[in-house]
Amino acid sequence: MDITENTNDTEKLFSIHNLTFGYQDKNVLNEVNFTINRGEFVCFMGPNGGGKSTLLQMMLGFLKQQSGDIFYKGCNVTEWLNDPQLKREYHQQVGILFQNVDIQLFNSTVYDEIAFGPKQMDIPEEEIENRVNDCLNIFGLNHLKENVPYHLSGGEKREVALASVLALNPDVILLDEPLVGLTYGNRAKLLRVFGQLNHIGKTIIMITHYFDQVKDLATDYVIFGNHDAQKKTRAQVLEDPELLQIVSEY
Amino acid sequence: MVSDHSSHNDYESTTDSMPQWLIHDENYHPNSVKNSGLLKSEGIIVKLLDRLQAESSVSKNHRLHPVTYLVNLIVALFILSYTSLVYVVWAVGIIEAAMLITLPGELLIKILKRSFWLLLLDALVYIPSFFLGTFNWLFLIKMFLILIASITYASSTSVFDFIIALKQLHVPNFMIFQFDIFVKHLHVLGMQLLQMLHAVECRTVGDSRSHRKLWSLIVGNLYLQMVELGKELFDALEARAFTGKYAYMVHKIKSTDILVLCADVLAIIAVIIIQIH
Ligand SMILES: Nc1ncnc2c1ncn2[C@@H]1O[C@H](COP(=O)(O)OP(=O)(O)O)[C@@H](O)[C@H]1O
Ligand SMILES: [Mg+2]
Repeated sequence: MDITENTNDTEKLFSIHNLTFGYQDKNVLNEVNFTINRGEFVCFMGPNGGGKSTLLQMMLGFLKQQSGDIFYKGCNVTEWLNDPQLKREYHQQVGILFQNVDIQLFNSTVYDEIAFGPKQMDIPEEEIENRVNDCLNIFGLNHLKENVPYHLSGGEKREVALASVLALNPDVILLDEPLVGLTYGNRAKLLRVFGQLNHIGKTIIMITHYFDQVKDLATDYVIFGNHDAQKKTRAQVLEDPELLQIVSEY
Repeated sequence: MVSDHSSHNDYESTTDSMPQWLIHDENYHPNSVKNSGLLKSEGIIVKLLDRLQAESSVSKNHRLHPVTYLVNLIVALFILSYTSLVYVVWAVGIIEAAMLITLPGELLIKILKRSFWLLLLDALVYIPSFFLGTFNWLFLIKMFLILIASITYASSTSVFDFIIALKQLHVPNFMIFQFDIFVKHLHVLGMQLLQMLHAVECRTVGDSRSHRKLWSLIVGNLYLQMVELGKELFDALEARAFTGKYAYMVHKIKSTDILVLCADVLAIIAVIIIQIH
């Protein structure tokens, strides 16, 4: 099934239209508009509580906006998620690494964790094994194959969670503060992988506060603040001293 | 494949080391699938969470003191289980009805609906005694009133109200503390469970295997987190110099509270005297 074939502009991956959201009586986002295109490496930056995670939750359908729409490949995300088959397609194409890694590791071995997705996808057993091994290799995790995910270190957990997302071979990868709590070296290691993924065509959407470390990778920024979110290109940010000042402070 | 990270400083030069399957679009179209039953429980969890977090749903102006509500409930339950006199049961019924009408309409309907379904369940269990000749109308009515009283209490007061009431009734601090921790625990745990279900959903891209197995994995993980959380919660409370004493919580006793409480005391005395005679 394909609900996107009659839209001519599939380069647009996500379009956010007049999106407004608030918790109870607290307004978080007000009339937000921007578009994310295929192949971009977009960093969401902004103050704590700016609504970055909230927006990701809406893109996954876990929170419902008060008004406005989110489109994925030209079709409303609600439409994707209402049909059981499209919903699974959507989840295969849009991978997510949550901020809290503990909640996304639920299998009894690292191997099972990574194989969880592919095992549902009609992939032959031996290819599943190859995929899992490839994913372990990307992060250098082979020695942890039989370990219990729950007992790994924070950094290892995050890498296992990422490997489990990659095993689905998604088109877009949403990352909610994947660099928090890591050493400079480990952040650099993850960023190198993100860079490679972007280079082979994956669209990356990453919430982060480490402007200095991401500024060579990011192609675009969405800057949150004051209930708004504005998209800027790398050049716009690098050439505008005021903007540069703002993002370095987040 | 990237096997040695230290040697790769330029990500562009290592692109060819990414596995081929990851470079190509997946082009995945799942076969017809049934909607996963795992997430049907999501709605219930969200509701329970709201309930734990919620302020009381009765507006501030209309509210009695939390203690009054609790004492009322206890008195009603006591009288109903103690008495065997029809008119006393009716009297309690009328008072309950009077209390119910003071609640907002929405809440009222919710309470009646819940009580009705529970009563129906109850009646079903009770049906055999109808054929055995031991059927007792009074028992069924008492059941119904007990249900309404309990559900009214649960729906119109919040967890915070309950803690305040315990405090004011001089329940020992360590017991309140246990309860408070338990509630906080439940709340955080519920949030974790919800997030975990979301995470599972995000990686459910086909027919997931047995739900029972998945649930056992989730519950196992939740248990591990609960143990850790319990320790953290206690440490956090201790770090805030929490000695196990609850500060006085501001809640004024109104004249209506005193009136209702007096009525409660009189009612108990009256019922006991009537019953004895
Ligand atoms: N479940 C919730 N209920 C009420 N308010 C919330 C909830 N989750 C987040 N918020 C509030 O919404 C705002 C945006 O939160 P969030 O999207 O997590 O921010 P960010 O990820 O940018 O730091 C914050 O002020 C936060 O306190
Ligand atoms: Mg956040």
